[in-house]
Amino acid sequence: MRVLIVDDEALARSRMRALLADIGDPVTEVVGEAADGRAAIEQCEALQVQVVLLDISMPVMDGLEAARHLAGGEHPPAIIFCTAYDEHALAAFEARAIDYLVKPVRAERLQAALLRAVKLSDADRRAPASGLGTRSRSHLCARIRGNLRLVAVGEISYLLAEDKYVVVHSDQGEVLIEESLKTLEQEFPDRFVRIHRNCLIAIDRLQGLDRDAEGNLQARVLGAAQPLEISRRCLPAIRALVKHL
Amino acid sequence: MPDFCSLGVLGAVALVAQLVALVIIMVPDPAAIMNLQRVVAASFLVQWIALSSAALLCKLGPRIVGMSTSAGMAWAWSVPLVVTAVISAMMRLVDDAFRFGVIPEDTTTQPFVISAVVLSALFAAAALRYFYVQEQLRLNVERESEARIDALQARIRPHFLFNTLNTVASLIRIDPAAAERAVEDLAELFRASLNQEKNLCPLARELELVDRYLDIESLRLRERLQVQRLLDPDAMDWPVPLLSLQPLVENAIYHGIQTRADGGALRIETRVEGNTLRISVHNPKPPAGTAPALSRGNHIALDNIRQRLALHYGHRARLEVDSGPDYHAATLFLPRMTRS
Repeated sequence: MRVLIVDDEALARSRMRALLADIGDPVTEVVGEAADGRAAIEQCEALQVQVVLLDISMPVMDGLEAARHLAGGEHPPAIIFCTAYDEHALAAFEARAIDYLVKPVRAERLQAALLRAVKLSDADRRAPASGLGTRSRSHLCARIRGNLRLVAVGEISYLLAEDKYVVVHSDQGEVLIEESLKTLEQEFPDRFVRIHRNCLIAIDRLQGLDRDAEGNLQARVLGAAQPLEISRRCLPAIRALVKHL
Repeated sequence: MPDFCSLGVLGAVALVAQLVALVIIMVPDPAAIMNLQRVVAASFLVQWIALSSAALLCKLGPRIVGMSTSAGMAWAWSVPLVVTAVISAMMRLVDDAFRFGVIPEDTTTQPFVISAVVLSALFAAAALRYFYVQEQLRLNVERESEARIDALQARIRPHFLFNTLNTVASLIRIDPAAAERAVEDLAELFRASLNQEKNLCPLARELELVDRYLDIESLRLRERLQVQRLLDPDAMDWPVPLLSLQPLVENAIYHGIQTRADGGALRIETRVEGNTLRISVHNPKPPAGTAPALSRGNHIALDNIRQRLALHYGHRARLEVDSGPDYHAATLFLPRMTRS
C-alpha cells in the first residue's frame, strides 16, 4: 500500500516511518512526506497515494481542510488522522476519515487502521461535499480536466462570475472554479466584499476609488490590471468600508 | 487570633477603648462628657488597660496560636482581665496618693477594681469575638485566592504534553541523549506548574523555565523556531509570578510561529522602567488568508494570566496585547513587590 506521511514536525514523520517499517501486515511503502496540507494534496495527485497519515494542526493548510479537498478527487486516498490531542474528533468524523489516531500512536492501533484501509473502495472514501461545516477554507480548489490546482485565499485579488463559473484572479494567474459567488461571499465575509453583482474583491487589496469618464465609480484593486466597476447597489457598503479603513 | 503586634489592630484596639471610655462616663451621668478632667482620666485608664493588654497579647501571640481555639480564646480573654485588675488597683493608689479626685472618694478600692474587671470582661469578650470573626473572614479570602492561584497555575496545554511525548517517542530511536534531555525539561516544567511556590520567583528563574520550554519546542519545530532575547541585566532578580511569561511564549508559538510554514523569530524583551518591569513577547502573525485557528486556547491563556496578576498585584499590574498587520505582541507590566 502506498502511504503518504503528512506532519509539519520532522520528528513526528520519522516516528511514523519507523512504526510503518515495524508493521509487517499490511505491507506498506512510504512514497512521500509532506509538511503541510497543501503539499499533501499535491503529492497525492502526483504519487497515486492510497493512504494518507494526516496530522491536523499544520501551517498553510490544516489537515481537516486537506481531507476535504482530497475527498473531491477521482481516486481519493484513505485518510487516517493522527493528532496530538483529540479535540477535533467530531470534525474528523465528518470528513469521513477511516480512523482517528492520537499521538504518540501505538503500532497496534496504526496496524488496525491500515487493515481497514485495505478493505475500502473508492466510493467509501469519497466524502460528501458539505463535509466540514462552516469553517472557512485557506485554499480554493480547481480541477481542470482531472488536474488539481490550489489557490491560497490570501493570494486572491478578486473573483469574477462568468456564466456558471467563477474566475479566480490571484497572484498565480487565473483559474476557473465551479462555485457560486454567493457561497464564497458567505464563507469569507471578512476577506471579500461584493462590489458588483458579478464581482467580489479582497478587502485588504482595495487601494482606492476612482471615477471613469462617465462618472461611474470604480475600485482600484492590487493585482487587478484594470479598475473594477462598482454597482450603485453596492456603493454605500463600499463607502462605509473605505471610511473604516 | 489577629496579630496584635500590627499597627492596624492596635489602632482598632485604641479606637474601641476610646469609645468604651466615653460610654463608661456618659452612662451614669450624660453631663460628664463636658467635664474634661473626667474624660481624660477615664480615657487614660481605659487606654492604658487596652494597650497594655494588646502589648501582652502581642508577646503571647505565638503561644496562643499554638493552642486549640477554645483554650486560646480563654487565655486571650484572661489577659485583659488580669491587666484591668492590676491597673485599676494601681490607679486607685495613684489617685489616693496625689489626691487627684478622679475617682469619687466614696468608692473603696475593692468594688472599684471589681466593677472595672467586670466591665473589662464584657468589652474584651465583645472585642475578641469581633477580631476572631474578622480574622476568619480574612483567612477564608486568602485560602480562596490561594486555591484559585493553584487552579490557574496548573495549566500547560495538553497539546504540548502529547506533542512532546510524541517527540520523545521518536527521539528514543534516533537520539537517546536528546530524548533524555527532553524528558528532563518536561519534568522541570510540569514540576513548576504543579508547584508549591505559589508566590513570586525571580525573573531569572522564570526565564530558565521559558528556556526549558523553548528547548522542547525547538526539537519539534527545528529551524522554524528562532528566538531573540533582549534581556535587561538589572531585571534578573525582579520578582514575578511563576509561569507568567511562559504561557505568553507558548501562545506566540501556537498562534504565530507554528502557523507559518517558514516559522519566524520570537522576541523576548525585558526592561526595567522606573518602578515597573516590562516583559514583552513579540511574534509574526499567521499569513493572510489562513483559515481561522483550530484551537481557541488563546484567550483562555490571557484571561488566566490576567486573573493571576489581579490576585498577586490588584490593579497595579497589567497585560497588554497589541497587534499590527504582520506581528502580534503581548506585554506584561509588573510593579516591584517583595517576595512573601
